[in-house]
Amino acid sequence: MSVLLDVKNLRVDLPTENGMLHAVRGIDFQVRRGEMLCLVGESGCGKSMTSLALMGLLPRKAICTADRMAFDGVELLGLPDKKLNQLRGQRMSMIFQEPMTSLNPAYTLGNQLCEAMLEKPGVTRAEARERAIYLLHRTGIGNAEDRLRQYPHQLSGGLRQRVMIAMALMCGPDLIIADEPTTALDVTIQAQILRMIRELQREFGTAVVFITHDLGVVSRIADRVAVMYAGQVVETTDVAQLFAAPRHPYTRGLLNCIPVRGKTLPGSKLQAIPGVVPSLVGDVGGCVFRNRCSLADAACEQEPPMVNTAAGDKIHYARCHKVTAADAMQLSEVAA
Amino acid sequence: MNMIDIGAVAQAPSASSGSDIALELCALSKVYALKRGMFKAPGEIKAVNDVSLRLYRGETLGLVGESGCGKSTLAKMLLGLLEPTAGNVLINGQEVDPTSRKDNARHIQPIFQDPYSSLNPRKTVAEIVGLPLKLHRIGTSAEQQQSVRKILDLVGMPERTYGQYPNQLSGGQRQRVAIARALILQPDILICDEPTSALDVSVQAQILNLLLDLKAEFGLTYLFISHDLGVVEHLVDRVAVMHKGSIVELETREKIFSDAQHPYTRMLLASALTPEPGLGIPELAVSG
Amino acid sequence: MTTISTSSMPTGQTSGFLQATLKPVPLWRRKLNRMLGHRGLVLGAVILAVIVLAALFAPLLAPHDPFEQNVSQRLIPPIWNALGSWDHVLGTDKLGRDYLSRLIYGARVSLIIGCAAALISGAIGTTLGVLAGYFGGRVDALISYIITTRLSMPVVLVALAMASLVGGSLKVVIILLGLLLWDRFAVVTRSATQQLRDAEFIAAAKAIGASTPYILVREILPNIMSALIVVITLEMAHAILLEATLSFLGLGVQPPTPSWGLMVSEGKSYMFFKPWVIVIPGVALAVLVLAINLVGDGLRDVNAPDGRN
Repeated sequence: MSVLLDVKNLRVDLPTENGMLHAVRGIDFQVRRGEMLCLVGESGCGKSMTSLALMGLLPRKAICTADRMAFDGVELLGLPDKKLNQLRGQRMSMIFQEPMTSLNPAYTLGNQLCEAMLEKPGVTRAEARERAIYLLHRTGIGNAEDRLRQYPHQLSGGLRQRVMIAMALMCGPDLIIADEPTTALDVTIQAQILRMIRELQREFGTAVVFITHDLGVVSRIADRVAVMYAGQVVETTDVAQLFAAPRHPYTRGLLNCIPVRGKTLPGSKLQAIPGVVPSLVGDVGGCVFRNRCSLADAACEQEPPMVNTAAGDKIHYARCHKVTAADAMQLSEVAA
Repeated sequence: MNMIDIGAVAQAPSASSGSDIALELCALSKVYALKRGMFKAPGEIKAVNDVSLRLYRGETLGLVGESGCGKSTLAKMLLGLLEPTAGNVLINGQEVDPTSRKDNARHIQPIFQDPYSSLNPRKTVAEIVGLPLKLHRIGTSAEQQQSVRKILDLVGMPERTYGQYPNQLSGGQRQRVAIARALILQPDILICDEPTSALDVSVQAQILNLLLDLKAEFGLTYLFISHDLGVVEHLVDRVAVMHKGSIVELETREKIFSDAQHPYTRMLLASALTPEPGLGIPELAVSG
Repeated sequence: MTTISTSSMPTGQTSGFLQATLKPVPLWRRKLNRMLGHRGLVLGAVILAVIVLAALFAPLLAPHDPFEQNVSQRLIPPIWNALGSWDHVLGTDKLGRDYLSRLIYGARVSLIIGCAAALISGAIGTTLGVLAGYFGGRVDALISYIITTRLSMPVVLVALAMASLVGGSLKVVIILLGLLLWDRFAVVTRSATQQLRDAEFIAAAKAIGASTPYILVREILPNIMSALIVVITLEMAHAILLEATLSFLGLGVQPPTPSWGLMVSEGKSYMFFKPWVIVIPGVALAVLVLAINLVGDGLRDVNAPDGRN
C-alpha cells in the first residue's frame, strides 16, 4: 500500500492574548491508501487543529508550518487556493462533528450533495443526482429521491450525519478526514454509523483519518492509531499492539482510567492520571508529560526522542526517554 | 482518620423516621401538548410516562437511556424545576411540593452535565459555592466563609481559585465547584445528570473517584444518569433503563450487565464499545 | 471513614517538574487591553471624553455668558472668516450671543438629555424585556404585544404631538423620550434573557432555592450587561438626535436655553448668507452622535468574542 498522506513536523501556532499558543508541536504521521488511521487524544491535544491544517481550514491568525505535508505527492502547504479547492471536495473531504450545524439550513440536501461534484468539469446534473441517490441508499437513508428535496432541519442528528458522510463520498475521494463524527450522536446510532463508515471505507478503498477521544471507538475501527498529547504524537502503532502493549506512560494511564467490565472492580477507585495538561502558551520544552508521570526524572527535561520499540520491521513508536523501563512495568500498573 | 466536618453551621436536616427510602416516584408523568393547527385536537408527547421508582438510602441508582428518553425531564421534576402532569415525588417519605424549592434544596441537589454553563460566569468560585448558605441564612458571614473553604478543600480546589471566575477554570475544576455547591447544604440525595460526559477521560476518572469518596464520607444517595454504560457499571448498585418515557427494566447491576431481559437494554449494551480490539462493531437490528 | 484520596486530586504530586506557567493576566486587565486595541472605540471614547469634559467645565471654558445678548455684535462670522475676531472665536448668533459659549453649554443639554432619557427608557425596557424573556407564555405574549404597539408608533410624530399638548421644556423632553425609546432595550434584553433562561446555572440556582426576583436581578441581569451597555449607548445617540429635532421644531428645549437643535432652528433663516450659524451646531451634533456610536460598536466588538477559552 502506498503512502497517500505524508506529514512531517507539522506545527500550528496561534497568537493569543497571553502569548503564542503552540497547538501542534511537530507531529509526523503517514496514511496509506485504504487504511483507517485514528488520531486519538483528549481536548487540547491538537487533533482538531491537525485536521483543519490538512484541509486548509485554519483560522486566519494561525501560523502553520511543516517540513512536509504531501497528499499523493502534492505538497499542500503554500498551494494556491485554486489548486487546493480542486483537491478539497474531490480527492480529500471532511466530515465534521456537529451534525446540527455543518449543513447549510438554507439549501436542500440535494443541492448540497451535488454541489461538490458539479465543480468537476464534465459532470452533468443528472449524473450528480444519480450518485447522490446511490450514496444516500448506501448510507442507509430510505426514500432517497424524496430526501433530496428536504432541508436539514427536517432530519434528525443521526440522519444528518449520514448525509454528511454521503456528501463526503460524492466525488469518490481518496482521503476522508472525520473529526469526531459520532461524538454528538446517541450510542446506538453511533454504532450503526461507525459500522457504515468502516464498510464504505473498505468497499471504496478510501483512506480515513478518524479523529476521536473515545478509545472504545478506536479499538473497534482503527487499523493504526496515533495517540496525541499536548500537541505531539506520543505513540503510534497498529491497533492491536497499542491495546496489548502500550509503551508510553500517557497511553497506559489513559487505558487504565477507563472503567471496563471485567477489568476494573466496580465501586473501586479508578486509576486516574494525576495533574493537568500543562499550558501550551509560551515556551514549552522537554517532555510535556513529565509533571504527571511516575517515571519522570532529570533526563525528561530534554525533549524525548521518538523511539521505535518494535522488533523487526514492525512499527511501534513512542516518544519517551523511559521506554524500556516502561516496558518492564506490568500493563496494569498505573502512571501514578 | 479525621471525620471532616463541614461545620456545625450547616445543620443536617432532621432525618425522617427510620424510612430507608430516600426518594420515591409514584406514577410520575409529564405530558406536553402539541398544537396541531386550529381544527385538530392537540397531540401529546409523553416525555415521562407513568414512572414509579424507589431510591434506597445509601445506594447509587443508575438511570440509563439515550437522548429523548425522558431522563433529563425526570431529573428536572425531581429537583422541582418542572411541574409533573401527574403523580408525585416523595423525599424521605414526605410528599414534595414542587413550588417549595427552598425546603427541598436541603435534601436534594443536582450536578449537571455541562461544566461550562452550570456556573454563573459573573460570579467567583467562592460566591457560587457560598450562595446556598446565604440564601438559607445559615451561619454568620465568617462561618459561611469557613464552610466554603472546607468544602472547596474537600473537592480538591486550591485556595488560589477561590477568587477566580469560571472561565479561568478547566472543565474538571468547574465540575468540582458544581459538586461543592451541591454539597454545601448537606443534602441526602444528589441527582447527577451526566456529570462526566463533557469531560476528558482522564478528568472523568478523577471526578468519579471524587464522587465515590464523597458518597462514602457523607453517606449520600445518588441517582446517576448517564449514557455511558462503562461508567454506570462501575458506580451503581442498581440500574433503571429508560426508553421513550418509561422504565423498561430495573435490576441490580450484576443482572443487567450479565443477563438483560428487555430487547432495548440488550441493544444498548451491545452498542457500548469497550476498548477491546478485534471485536469489531456489533450489528444492531435497528432501522436508520 | 475514608479521606479524600489523592487519586481524585487535580494537582500533580508525583514529580516536581512543573511546567513554567505564565502568570495569568487578570480579567479586567485583559478587557482593558482589548478595548485599548480597538481603534474605533478609542477614538469614540476620546471624542466623547472631550465633549463631556467641556460640558462639565463649561463655566471655566466658555469665554462669554451664553445668555448675554449684544445686538451691536450680532452675526459676526467665526475666526476663519475675514471679518471674524478672536473675541468671538466661533462668531455670534442673531442676538449677539457668543457662539462658542452657546456651543459648550449646549453640550450640557445634549448630554443630560441623552443620559437621562437612556436611563429611564433603559429601566423600563429592561424590566419588560427580562420579565418577558424569563417567564415566557402569557407574560411574554402580553409584553410582546406592548412592544409591537410601541414599535408601530412613529416616535417623532408622537413626541411632537405630546410636546405640543404639554408644552416643550427640558423636563418634558426627558420624560417623553424616556417613555418612548425603551423598545430596543426590551427586544434585546428579552432575547438575551431567553438564551440564558435554560442555562444550567439558572437551574442550579433554582435548585438551591433562590427566589425568582433573586434570579432575575443577581443571576440574569449581570450576564446580559454587555448587550445592555451597547444598547444604552445607541439609545443615547438616538435621544440626542430626537431632542435636536424637537428643539428645532420648537417643541423641545425652549429659548433662551442653548440647545444645538435650537441653535440650528434659530439660524435657519440665515442659512444661505451666514452658513456657520447652522453648520457649527450641526457638526457638533454629528460628531457627538458619531462618537457615541463608535463607543457602542466598539464595546460590542470587544465583548463579542467573550466565550469559552
